[in-house]
This record gives sequence, structure tokens and C-alpha cells, in this order.
Amino acid sequence: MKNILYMIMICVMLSGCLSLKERYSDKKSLENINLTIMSDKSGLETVYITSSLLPSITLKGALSLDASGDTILNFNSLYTITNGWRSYTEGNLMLYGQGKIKKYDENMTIEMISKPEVIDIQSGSMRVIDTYYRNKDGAGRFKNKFDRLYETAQLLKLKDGFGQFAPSQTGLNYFFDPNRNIPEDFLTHTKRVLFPELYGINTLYKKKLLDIHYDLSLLDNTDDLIIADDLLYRKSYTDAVIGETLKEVRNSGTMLRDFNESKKLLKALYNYDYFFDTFLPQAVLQVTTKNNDYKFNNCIIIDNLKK
Amino acid sequence: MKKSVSVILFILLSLSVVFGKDISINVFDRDIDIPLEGVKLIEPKSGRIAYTDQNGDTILQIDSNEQIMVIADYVGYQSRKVIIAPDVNTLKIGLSMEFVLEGKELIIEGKAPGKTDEKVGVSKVVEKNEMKSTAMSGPMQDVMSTVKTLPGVVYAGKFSPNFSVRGGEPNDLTTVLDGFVVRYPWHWGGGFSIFNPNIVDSLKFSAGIFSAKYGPAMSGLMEVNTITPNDGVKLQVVLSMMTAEVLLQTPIVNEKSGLYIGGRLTSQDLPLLMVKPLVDQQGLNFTRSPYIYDGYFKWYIKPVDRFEWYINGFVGADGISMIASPPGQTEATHIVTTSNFSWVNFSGFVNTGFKVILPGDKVFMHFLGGYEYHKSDIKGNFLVKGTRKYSDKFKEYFATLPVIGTTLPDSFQMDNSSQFGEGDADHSAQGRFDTDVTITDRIMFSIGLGGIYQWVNYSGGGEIYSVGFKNGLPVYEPFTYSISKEDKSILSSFAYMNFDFKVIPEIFDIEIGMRTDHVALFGKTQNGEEYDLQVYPVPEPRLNFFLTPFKPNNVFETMTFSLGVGLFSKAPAELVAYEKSFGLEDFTMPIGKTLTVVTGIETLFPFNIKVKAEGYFKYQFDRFYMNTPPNNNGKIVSHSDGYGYSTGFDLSIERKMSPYLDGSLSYSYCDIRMFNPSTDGMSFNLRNDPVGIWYYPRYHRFHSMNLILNARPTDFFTITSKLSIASGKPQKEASETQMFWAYDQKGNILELYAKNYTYSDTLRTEISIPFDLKVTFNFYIPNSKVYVEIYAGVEDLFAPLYSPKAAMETDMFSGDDKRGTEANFDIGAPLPSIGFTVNF
Repeated sequence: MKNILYMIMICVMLSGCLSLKERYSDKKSLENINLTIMSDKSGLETVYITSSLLPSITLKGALSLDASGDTILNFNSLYTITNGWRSYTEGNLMLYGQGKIKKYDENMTIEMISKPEVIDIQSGSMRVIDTYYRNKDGAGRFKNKFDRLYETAQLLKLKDGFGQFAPSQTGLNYFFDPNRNIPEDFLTHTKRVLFPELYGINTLYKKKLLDIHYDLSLLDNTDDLIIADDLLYRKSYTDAVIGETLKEVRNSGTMLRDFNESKKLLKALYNYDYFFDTFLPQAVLQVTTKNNDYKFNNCIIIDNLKK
Repeated sequence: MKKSVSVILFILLSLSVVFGKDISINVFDRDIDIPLEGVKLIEPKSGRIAYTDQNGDTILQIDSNEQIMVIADYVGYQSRKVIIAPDVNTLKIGLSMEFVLEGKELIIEGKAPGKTDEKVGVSKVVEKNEMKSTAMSGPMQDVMSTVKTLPGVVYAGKFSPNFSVRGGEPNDLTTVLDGFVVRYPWHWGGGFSIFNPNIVDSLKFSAGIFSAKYGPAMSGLMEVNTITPNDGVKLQVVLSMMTAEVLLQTPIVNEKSGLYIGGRLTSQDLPLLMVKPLVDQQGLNFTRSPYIYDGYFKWYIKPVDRFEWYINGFVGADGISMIASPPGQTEATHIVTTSNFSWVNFSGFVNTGFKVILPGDKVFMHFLGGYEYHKSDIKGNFLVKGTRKYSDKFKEYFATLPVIGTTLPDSFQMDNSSQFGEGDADHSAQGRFDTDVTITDRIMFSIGLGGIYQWVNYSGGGEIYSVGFKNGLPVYEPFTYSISKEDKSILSSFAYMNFDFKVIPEIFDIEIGMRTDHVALFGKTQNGEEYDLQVYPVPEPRLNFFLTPFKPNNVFETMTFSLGVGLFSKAPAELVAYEKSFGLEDFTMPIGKTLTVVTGIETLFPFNIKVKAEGYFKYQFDRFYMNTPPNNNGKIVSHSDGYGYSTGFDLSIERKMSPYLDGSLSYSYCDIRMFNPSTDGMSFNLRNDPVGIWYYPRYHRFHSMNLILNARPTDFFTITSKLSIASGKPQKEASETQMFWAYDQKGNILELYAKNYTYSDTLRTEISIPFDLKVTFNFYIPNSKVYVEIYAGVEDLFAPLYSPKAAMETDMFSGDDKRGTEANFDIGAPLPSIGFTVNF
């Protein structure tokens, strides 16, 4: 009896100290996930996840064991860097979310317990031409841009022609707009929906419209134009297609600037829910043998998920 | 017993792991720092809920000893999610009022008043990003390239320092860097300035009625504000055909202290090699290609919001060495003049200051002190050597002359060398104190004082061959001169006060001020005799009105009118040449002044298009000049009775910082007439300006136009073009080439030629049409902060086809005429530049 008690106590005591030390190999898929576990000298392991569905984003997490002995992946931060229009935008956001890692044979899957949510901003910086925004100012501007892009991504999901996710490869026959009869990729199609003015104002006068529910007869031509950053926007289009939440963001030119500077982040945020709700839980990861040219010691690399 | 205790402890420890813990949480309003009662705290995993009490406190019991998330929710406040680490037992959560997604993002922040505010009728501000097209388009990146395109600046000519601001003398412009007066801001005698646009944050060019705070300056003030190294690590590397540059900015310890340090090496070796055939064609051989070496640093500390300290430093050297000889001539058949010339300059300054905002935020103070040094050495020699046959015309002419006993041989020979050398060392120390007091939210009062103490050593001399008269006969012989070395020092001091009234905020402003400048000169003759020269202080009142009567409407966003009048003064640069022998008494020499009236209108239209028109009239008086009367043993006589006027207008249309197309078009018209009444029997004074007649100064041009366009068809490609068109400068009227004879030192007869030059009110050099073009490719290395720019450009693209000519000149020994060049220095070829910039 004493021995059993001792064993129970020891197991509980040791519950916080185990780390993942197994290798996996990869498989082939149209989209991919790279999951890398880095281990430093003290044995602290950090998980990095990148995916073709989440361009410009690196998810970071830590491994732990729960009470039942399962390996839990705790998502704790998101890092992003994007470039465009003589600018860069970089930021670190604090996340909270968990997934349960399940292993069988030589493979691994991740069952999501809670989808990672953004809790707070850790740091951010931006550069526009030669103006730098760093420290508190940079963090604030980055968070604002991130929020705007997130809301824009949610808006696009409600629009006709936008699917469950945006594929990583361009040129695919993914967005097939029956009004235009031309296939185009996610970012091109998004630009056309959000900024039809860039494709000629006459686009709005033809029935081949981007949003098929938009009734041209409702177009109000009086006091309808607003200038922002060298572009004339139609306020009536904003009201009807973009909506109240993002109305000022578009009419001020900020939405176009965000798109030009960080379009990859917009795409990643569009795919974010799909990635965690569908793609990651269905993915099967295998270890591949890869060059150990990382900075940390004792690396165990799992990458190139292919279905 | 021991065993029992151990078992109990283990059980308790295990229970704590299994059954969770209590977290003490305090919730407060983040903006006004008060506790929030009734905030709902939820732990989603377990569903546990707690509410805060009147002190904002609550206890939340959690099951797990892992990291968890808690949501704080309160009506009217933005919900906040917080991660609680396993080892945390107490927590403070700050909530902010409900947010609205930002619409128009404000990029421009509020800056210190006076530093970057542009005002119609007063000043023009060019920010760092706007400078990229003009300051960085040529082979040498230079802030002055931007200044020279601004309205009010009369086109100076290629490599010329003599740009005039609204008709003022070039020396009437004062240049200031972070409040420190830079007395020698030039390289290559004015070809380029020391201001590298990569260390400049903004430039404020004031050609109107600028505040009494600034001076001494007469025609204009250029304020260069350097970058503040307070935003992290930055590195920039520039490599081009002419330049290698590195600039590093880094915080020191933390973001409250920063340093930038950099250096730039410029040499024309490679561009001159590329255009070598053209250079050879002109008989030029650079024994040392023109070079510039610059180093800069700035250290900045702001330990608290109210106090800031900085130290700025610059050191630079430039020089050139060349040999020029006319191409296609040999000593066997020509008299060949070979010039060998070298010029080396060294300059540097260091200044330090601190800025304080006193508690109450009403009083701002700035103290500054610094030292500047400049040394220049120029030396050269001219070798005249060769053999030349007498021309038939000269033989006929000589036969008619009553020169007894001289029979001309077939040819004559020459072999002589002139040389000269001059050097100066100029030191100055300056200090100033400024205070701005916000009396009310509509009235700002400024007061300050300061001074510059300058001491110079200047020496020079040489032996120059020229034609003089001996015993009534013309003789070609060496003339020796030396500039007597007298130690001199000049103390310039000032005091001012200024009021800025916002009578009706954003509608009607008045600015009124009074400044006083004083100068005193101290010298010591070569005999050790000390002397001084005192002048009366000069009062300089300033007054400006600004009116913005209309609200934003469908046609324009703002329209501002301005009217201003002011008196400006500055001690003449020639004051350093003053000597006791000039014989001036104390308080008899007035300092030159300019009374200026400016009116203007500025309108901001949609698409960020700004249209500006300004008209001005300036009356200049008490101007200083020097004559060298004949039969006065070479002594100089000085006068301060020069006067004149300048009038004109400037028009500009500009569009700043568009993603696709921006630029500016400016046109300046300027009429200037000056008069130096005291002739002393001369036709020209020491500066070669006419005396006794009204004249157009040598730097005058009626019309100057600048067109700058930046086109960005894609986000990675920019085409920058800069076209200037300027009418000609005054050109002296040259007589017909006159042939004459002179003896040399050996008694040989020399066949010589010369032209006489007289002032002409109507003759002008040809118009100038410099055109610069630059294409730039830019990109970020993907997923990084490293920015790369690759560019190719050419300066003065039309040079091979057209180069404006000046007056006809004649070769002294052959009589061949050729048109001189209008440029200060011209190789007759466009200057190419190719390079790249990497920075992060």
C-alpha cells in the first residue's frame, strides 16, 4: 500500500517535466504545414508552425503534459512580417489556444481543444518609406492594422464567390466569377471586390457586378465621390458592399493601403479559421530527415506535412 | 514519525496540484486609473465566474495549475482576455473604453513648434521623404540639390555656390544645423554642401519674413534638422560609382538614449574614367580626382520627457588636384599654358545642447554651445612655355611702331612659371539660449540671446606673370604679392524677443518680434599693435499677418493669405579682410541691411495639390564694398554706402508624397539693381562689381524654373526627372581682340592679345537647361526588414549637346577666341551614377 501511494505521488510530482522527443516523417499534400520543435540547451522545447495557408505567419507554442498524460500543444504567440509598397509591417501577438497531440506509428495528428485566440499585442513595428514606427507607437499601429485586416477577412467570407479558404497557389481556377467569366486567385479577386475603382469606374455601371446582390438602380450619384490617397471612392458602393464597420476604413484609403502593404496577412487571416477548424485537425504529420542547421542544439524536426 | 510527515506533505502537495488554486484579481480603468466594480471575470474552460467589488477586487478559483485564459467583461468597456501563468497568484487587469476601428490613420505626429511648420510668406519645409527625389537624384546626394529647386532661389549654375535668394547676395544666406550656425557648409568651394540627406530629418528654407529668433541672416535662412536616433537599430549602406557610405543608428542601453555614427567617402575616379575621352578633349588631367570625406555623429539622451541632451559632430575634408593644358598644342609651334592646381579643405564642428520643458508645460528652454573649424589651402602654378612664329599681321603692326633698334626674328620663345598659394584657418565658438513661454493658449512669447566669436588667420602670396609698364614701356614680368597676415577676431552677438498671437485660432495669426545684432572686430597688426572696430547695434523689427478666412469646401481645403515686413542685417563676409590701414573709426561703419516686404497666398486643393504665389520687394542699403584705387600703393579703401533693390514673385505648384505621381513646378521672376556710389577713380570694385553706375549683380537671372516629377508606375519602380530652365546671367561686353607687344625679362618682343571687358546692362550668358534623370528599383528582401534600392541616373543629360556659353575669351598668346563656359566648372559631359542602397 505504501509503495502504491509513493508511486502515485511520484507520478503526480513528475507531471510537469516530460518533453516530446520523437521524430516523424512527412507526406505529400496540395497545401503544407511545417511543424518544427526546437530544443535549447536547458531542454526547453518550442514549437513553430508555418503553413502555406497562413502566409507571413509563424505560430509559436510550448509543449506540456496534461493530467491524463497527453501531450498538449499550447499556442502562445503569433509572429508576422509582411512587405509591400515600400513598407514593412511586423508584429508579435499573444495567443491562447490548445491542441492535443496524438501519436500513432510514425505519424502525428493534432486535435484542437481550443482555437488560438488573440489575447494581446506583445510588440509591433512598421516602416513606411523612411518613417519608422517602433515601441509603443509601432505596437499600436500594428494592432490597429491587424484588427482592420481581420475584420476585412471576415467581411470577404460573407461575399459571393469567396470559398471556405484561399488556396496558396496562384493561378488556380478557384474564384470563378460568373459575371466576368475569368478565373482569378484570391488576392486578385479580393482587390476587385474591395476596390473596383482601380479597375475603372465604369465597372460599376455594368450589370456584370462583383456583388450580384448589389442593385445599380440604388446607386446615388449625388455627392457620391470621395478622394483618398489618389483614388476616387464611391461612397454608395462602400455603404452597400463594405458595410458600416469598415466604411471609414475604405473611404479614407486606409483599406487599400493595408491591402497593398500586407496582403499576405489578409490572406492568412482569411484562412485562419479554416486552418484550425478543418485543415490542422485533418492533417497527418510525418517527420522528414532535414539539415540540422538550426541555431539551437538537440533539434527534432517535423516538417512538410503532405496529404 | 519522519515517514508520516513526508507522506502528509506529499499528499498536500498533490492535492494542490489536483484541486487548483485561488487567483486574486484587481480590475481598473486603464485610462483614468480607478477601480471598476461589477466586472465579470470568466474562466471559459471551467465556466467559473466572479465579479469585482467596489475596490475592483475579486477571487477567482481555478482548477488547473496550468496556464489559463480569463476574460474580463464590462459594459461600455472593451473586453479583455488575459493569460494567467501557472506561477501567478495575483493579477491586475486594466480595461479601456470600447474601441472603434480606426479609419484614416494619422501618419504625421505633432512636432515642436517652429521646427517644421511651413508658413506662406515665411518658409518652406521639405520633409525627409520628400527630399528623396531632389536630394538623392544626382551622383552626389546633397540637401542643397533640393534647396536649389525651391521657389525664390535663383539658379546658381553648375557646381556654383553662388545662389541668390530673392536677389540677395549669396553670402547673405545663413545655414543652421539643429540651431547651430554653420559658417562653412560647403565642399569644393560650394559645388556641394556638407549636408547628407540620409542624416537629415527635415529642411526648413525661409526666404520671407522669418522670425526674430533666427539670424544673423539677410536674404534667407536654411535650417537643417538632423534625425534623432531614438527609434531602434538602423543600418544603411550606400555604394555607388562615386560614393561609399555607412550609417549606423543604435540605442544605447535603452530607447532613451541613442547614437548615430556614419561616414561617407566620395571620389570622382570612376565617373571621370567613364567620360575620359571627353575630359581628355578638354585637356584636363586629374592628378587627384575630386574627393570628399565626411564623418558625422549624434548622441542623444532623453532620460525623462521634460529633458533632452544631444551632441552633434561633423568632420570633413575635400580636395582636387589637376593639370590643364590646351589640347592639340605642342611647345614646338605654340605657347602652351599648363596649369597645375591643388586645393584642399578641412572643416569640422561639434556642438552640444539641452532642451528642458519646465513643470507646468508652459516654459521651454534650449541651451546650445559649439565650436567650428575650417582650414583651406590652395596653391597652383602656371607654366607658360613654347615657341611661336610671329604672325604676318604682327610683323606689319610692329614695323609701324617706334621701337628703335629692334628687328623681329621669325619667332619668339617663352618659358616662365607663375605660382601662388593661399591658406586660411578659421575658428569660431558660439552659444545661445532660447526660451519659449506659452502665456495663454493663444499667445506664445519667445526670448533669447547668444553670440559667435570667430578668430581667423589668413595668409597668402605669389608671383604672377603679367604685363605692366616700366619706363613707359610694356613689360611682361612677375608681379609678387603677399597678403599680410594679421590676426583678427570678430564677436557677433544678438538678442531678440518675439510674440506669436493666435488672434482667432486657425483663422488669424500675428507674429511680431524685435531682434538686435551687434558686431565688433578685434585685430593685431604684424607689429603687435592691437586695434578694434565697433559698430552700432542694428535693430531688426519683424511683423507678419496670416489670414485663413475660408472654411474647407468643394473647391479647396484651405486658403491662407500673408503679409509681412521686416528688417534684416548681417555683417559682410569681407569684414575678415579689414585691416587697421583701412583707417575706419569706431561707429562709422554701418552694417548692411535689407528692408523686406512679402505678401503671399497659399491654397491646398484636393489630391494634396498645393498652389503658392508670393511677391516681394527688398530695399538693400549700407552695403559694404572695397576699392583699390590707382596710385594708392595698393591700399584698399572700404565703403558702406552701397544700395539697391530687388523685386519679383515666386509661383509654385506641388504635390507631395503620392503613391503614383508627385512633384513640383516652380517659377521665379527676379529683378535686382544695385549701386555702389564711391568710385575712387575705378570702374570695378575689388569684387569686380561696377562702381558709379546701376548694375545687375553677377548672380542675377531674371527667370528660373524647376520641374520635378516622380512617377511610380509600380510599387517597385520610380522614375525621377528634374528639369531646370534659367535665363542667363550678366555678361561683360568684350571688345575686339587687341594685339599688342611687350618685352620679356630678356628683352625679347612678345606678340600678345587681350580683350577689354566693360559692364553691359543688356548682354547675358546663354540660358541653362540642366536635365537630370534617375530610375530606381526598390524592394524588400522577402519576409524581412531589409530594404534594397538599386538606381541608375545621369546628371545634366544634355551636356554633350548643349552647354550654355558666357563671354568670348581670347588666348593671350595665340589670339584665338573661344566662348567661355557659364558653369563654375564644366567637363562638357553628363555625370553618370549607378549604385545601390541597403538599409533596415
